[in-house]
Amino acid sequence: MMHFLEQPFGWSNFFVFLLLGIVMLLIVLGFVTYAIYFERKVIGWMQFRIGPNRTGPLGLLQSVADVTKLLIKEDTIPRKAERQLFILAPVITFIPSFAAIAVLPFASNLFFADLDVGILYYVALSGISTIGIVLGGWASNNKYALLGGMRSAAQMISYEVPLVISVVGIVMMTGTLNLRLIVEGQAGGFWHWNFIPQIIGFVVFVIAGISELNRTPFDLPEAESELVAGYHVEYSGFRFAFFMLAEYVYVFAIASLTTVLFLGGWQSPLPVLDFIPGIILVPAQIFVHRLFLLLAARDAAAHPDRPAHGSRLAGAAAARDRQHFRQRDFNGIGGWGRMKGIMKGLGVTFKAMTAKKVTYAYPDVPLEMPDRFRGIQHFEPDKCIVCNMCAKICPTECITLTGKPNPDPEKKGKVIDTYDINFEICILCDLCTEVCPTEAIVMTNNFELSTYSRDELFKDMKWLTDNNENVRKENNSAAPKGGAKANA
Amino acid sequence: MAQLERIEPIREQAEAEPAAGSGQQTFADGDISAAYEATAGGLLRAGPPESGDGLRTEELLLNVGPQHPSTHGVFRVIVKLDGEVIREAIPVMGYLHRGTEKLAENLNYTQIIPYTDRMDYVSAMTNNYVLVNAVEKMLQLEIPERAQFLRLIVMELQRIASHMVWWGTYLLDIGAMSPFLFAFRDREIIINLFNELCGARLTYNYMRVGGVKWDAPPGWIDKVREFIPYMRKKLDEYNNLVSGNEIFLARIQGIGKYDAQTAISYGLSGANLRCTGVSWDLRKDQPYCIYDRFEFDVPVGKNGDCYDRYLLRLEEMRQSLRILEQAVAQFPDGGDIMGKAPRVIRPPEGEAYAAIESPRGEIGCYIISRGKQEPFRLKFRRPSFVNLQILPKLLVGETMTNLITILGGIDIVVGEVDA
Repeated sequence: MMHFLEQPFGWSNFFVFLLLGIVMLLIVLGFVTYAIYFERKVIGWMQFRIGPNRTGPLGLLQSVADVTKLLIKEDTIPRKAERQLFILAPVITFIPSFAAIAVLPFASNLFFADLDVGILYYVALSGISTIGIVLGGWASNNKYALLGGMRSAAQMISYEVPLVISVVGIVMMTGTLNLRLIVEGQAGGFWHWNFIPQIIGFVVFVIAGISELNRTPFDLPEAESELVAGYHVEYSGFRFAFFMLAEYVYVFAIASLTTVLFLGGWQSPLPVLDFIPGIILVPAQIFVHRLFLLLAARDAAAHPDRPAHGSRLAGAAAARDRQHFRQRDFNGIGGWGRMKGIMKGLGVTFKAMTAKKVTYAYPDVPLEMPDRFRGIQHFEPDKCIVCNMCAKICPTECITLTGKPNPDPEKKGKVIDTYDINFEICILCDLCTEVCPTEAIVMTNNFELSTYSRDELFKDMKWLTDNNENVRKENNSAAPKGGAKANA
Repeated sequence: MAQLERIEPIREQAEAEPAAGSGQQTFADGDISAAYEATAGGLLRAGPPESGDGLRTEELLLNVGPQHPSTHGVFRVIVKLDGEVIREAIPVMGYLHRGTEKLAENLNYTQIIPYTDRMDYVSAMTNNYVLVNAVEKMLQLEIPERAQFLRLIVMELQRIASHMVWWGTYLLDIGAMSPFLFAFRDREIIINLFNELCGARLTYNYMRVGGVKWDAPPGWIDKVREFIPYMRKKLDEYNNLVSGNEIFLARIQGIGKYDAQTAISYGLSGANLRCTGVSWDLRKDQPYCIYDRFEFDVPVGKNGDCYDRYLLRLEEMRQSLRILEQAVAQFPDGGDIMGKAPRVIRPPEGEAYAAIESPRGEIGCYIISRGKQEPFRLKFRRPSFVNLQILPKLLVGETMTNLITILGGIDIVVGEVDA
């Protein structure tokens, strides 16, 4: 690829570059799309769920549908937001994320830019994204967003330094900042890979990398349980999609960077596997690393996280607290000797992945309710003696009924004329069926009441009579029928 | 629209404010309602704190809620933040107020039972019980043995289910997602048991003055019996999954600490009181139903922090299983489920107070009767509401993150706070 740069710039070269750019974009977008799908599936398995399975075969089009939804959604900008900055922020976050992957080599002869300051370039560009986040948080004119943005800045200060320093060892070993040359230095089997001599650097890099990605347990800027959604709380539609996209592009980038720096890039782990082209090895490694990110770090799904002290970083006290936080994080919490509890938890999570799924396929497979289930009432006009007991006992007064004289002049009493239940206020407490002496009103097991209008929730006698499926068999209860007199 | 107007841009506020420390700081108009101003609003008008390092700092008034993922419903806390540190916090409640107590004055006693379901909606059975127990006290009713057992079994199952909801949502607040689904998977078993028993999954309306509405369907008791060892195993799993996790411990150990004296003077009950080392459980200390026949321990903590409360609730689930095991073994073969209750419940003139140990603490029901079908006055002592009162005290000096930890640790149900 480098030879293109040496040729004079012309239309043909321009198109080749354009094409390569588009291919790269598609690869990254494809990765993002299916990274999200993959993540949702795996987290689903950890939680006895199926995960996305509705859109497309096996739910494969779920992310596509989500992105489409985001793109066609109304784009809202809060009235009092700083309009220009609000629009600019996602762009500032997004562009560096794509620009940064330009230096990542994918195979010995496939790379976009062979920069001699590759690592520096990556670190410099990825730092810019944080500005976008802070800006977005600030421009939203929302206090939660502001706090999220501030946290993001504080977190970057805390973790960018260890991230960079952890790489210094490799740079000193290989004597270059060029990512391609760093990979070439790791040829000859996995024992030549950098993660062995640089094991401490590797661990620090992975932890700081997760923090760079704002993923749990370092998702302080978003902190959905306390800051609602942090810096992007006011964003919707495609602007929000840009933030999300940037985050996942960084996942891709950090995974690739780990592969390149520590795990031998396209070099095969064993000399006998040399026949496998590097172009397969790198994505395979990225995939494995991605899995690691998902399980160990985004064991989101499994673990309480977010060290309390992390959040103290933000705000005015950042500088003072930083030291304290970092010490705690690496010596206190992250120490290997004290990882037992986390490992135990991970064990349970892994076991859960094979456990029976408990997801109901509800609309496809109707739910079977037990016989006593209190659903929507069924009414039998013939049995009703218009005693008014049900209307009297109803705590919400949702039943109204009227009687008329018996049409048969031979018989005394009344027959039912109208009978309405207002399901807008009915609480399905079962008291009406409990007091009914003739079982004219009984419960059914049907429970689907959703309508498009409130008026439709007002059900009349005909509707209630027609609602005659799944009628409860056992309606008599232990309520006192007769019994002792009131002892007042 | 008015709501939008209120949120003044932060920087505008910053410009409008004089330099830090100069006199009183007032917040934008309409930040606090007039009624609020009269009561607690004064608290918020203290000046910004002196910053140690000479930096000029501004305080931020933040409304956490009423629509917020971690307030478990429509509950609102106004916090005054200095950076991320809370200087003042004022809980605002009432968004879910339905006037249960006032409504009850126009309803007869049977009709009130469905309303009690809706107070503490994750623990409806205990609410049912406290009402019928108070009425039964007034009527001096004898409750048949079988009904007593059924009541006890459902209440203990409910305690487990309620603690599971707490466990899952608390960890969800702290940032873990899986425990929530672990808890709800197992809670589903209890919910299904209740569904079979009384036909509802959340608002049971199961108990009646004098007994219970439904007898156990065939095989139901066996299902409860099978559930006990299953749940024991799952409790160990819960512990393995979370309790030892170092990040989790760093998050909640030593957070939200108070001592026994404070807890008692705030009137706390339940795990919120026991975490300080006070052994006070109404099931033991003022036995109701048939709790005096069973053997169980009242676990107490010693540090009074969120972690102790967490452990206590897990241990309470274990003790509930112990009670269930004995109750299922002694379950009478036959018998009535309804005592000799009058058809029209008209308690004699007088007053009664019944208190029981709900999963959240002491829930009480105070009835004044004038001999009518409806109570003259009905008052619930709602543990969520009482326990919540300590929140402003605990929050001062904590971070935003700990707000969630502490609020979750108190274990409120907004339906019960507001009734």
